[in-house]
Amino acid sequence: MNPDIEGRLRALRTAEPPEDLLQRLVAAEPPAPGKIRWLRIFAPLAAAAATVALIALPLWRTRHAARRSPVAAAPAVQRDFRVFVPIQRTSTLVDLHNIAVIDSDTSQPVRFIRATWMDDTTYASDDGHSTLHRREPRTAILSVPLKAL
Amino acid sequence: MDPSDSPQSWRVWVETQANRFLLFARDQTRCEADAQDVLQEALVETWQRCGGKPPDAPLVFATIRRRAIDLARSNDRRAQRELASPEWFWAPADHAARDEDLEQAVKTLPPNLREVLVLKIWSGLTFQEIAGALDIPANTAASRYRYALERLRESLKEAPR
Repeated sequence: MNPDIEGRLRALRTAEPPEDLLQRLVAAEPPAPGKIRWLRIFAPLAAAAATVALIALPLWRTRHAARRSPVAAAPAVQRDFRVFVPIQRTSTLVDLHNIAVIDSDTSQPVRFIRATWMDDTTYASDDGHSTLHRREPRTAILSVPLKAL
Repeated sequence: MDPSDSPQSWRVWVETQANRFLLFARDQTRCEADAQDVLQEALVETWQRCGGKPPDAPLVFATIRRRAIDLARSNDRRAQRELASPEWFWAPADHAARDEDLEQAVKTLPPNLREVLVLKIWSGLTFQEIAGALDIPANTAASRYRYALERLRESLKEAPR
């Protein structure tokens, strides 16, 4: 009999991981979930704000300059174009089509769906009374994580 | 101390916990490359599942085991387990010699006994936690642990130090 078998077992120290494995594991650090959530929320907002700024800034400059110096703004600022900016947009989902489910050993199964929307957008002109309406279809491929099959 | 008691960075968690997780990954796989792949997958998966915080050890062990089973099924390899290399244990400098007979006896235990022994002795899990990690009843975990100790005693009687 060897009554101290547990003591002998505990005296065995587990081997340290090889240095290259440690480096590999440290490098595999997953992205912080907070950062991803922040980006998902603010990146589209920032893009939308930048687009609006690009469209609205020339208009604002033109109007502002006209208000500050009416003499200089008189006949020279007549334009041969109008600027329309979107004032209302509705998207209607018209079709959903399952494309495929990708199941790999290394990650969660993912279902790919083709979604089609009909976008109706109303634009208003900078002259204050003209509007125009456009209807365009839009298609996107969406990935939806599934629970294990 | 349980790693989930205090906030830790990924690096600190990996550097302090990797050895015990690696030992279990080696126990569950057929070669060192598989053990390292399974370990990395399990660490990343459990860390993400816990929202970027150190997961509880039983969850990590359970994930290592599940990934090892998946890998064995997908590979369907019949490779011999590498029992001699790499070393699972090491001897600190102040110890005269490694207990090589005991190491060898541990490695030749039946896998279902050895996995319980590894989690109990070198990861400090309770039988309840072992039961959760291995998906077996706690009584079974306790009895496998006793069988493992008996088998080791028998092996060491046959090969005295």
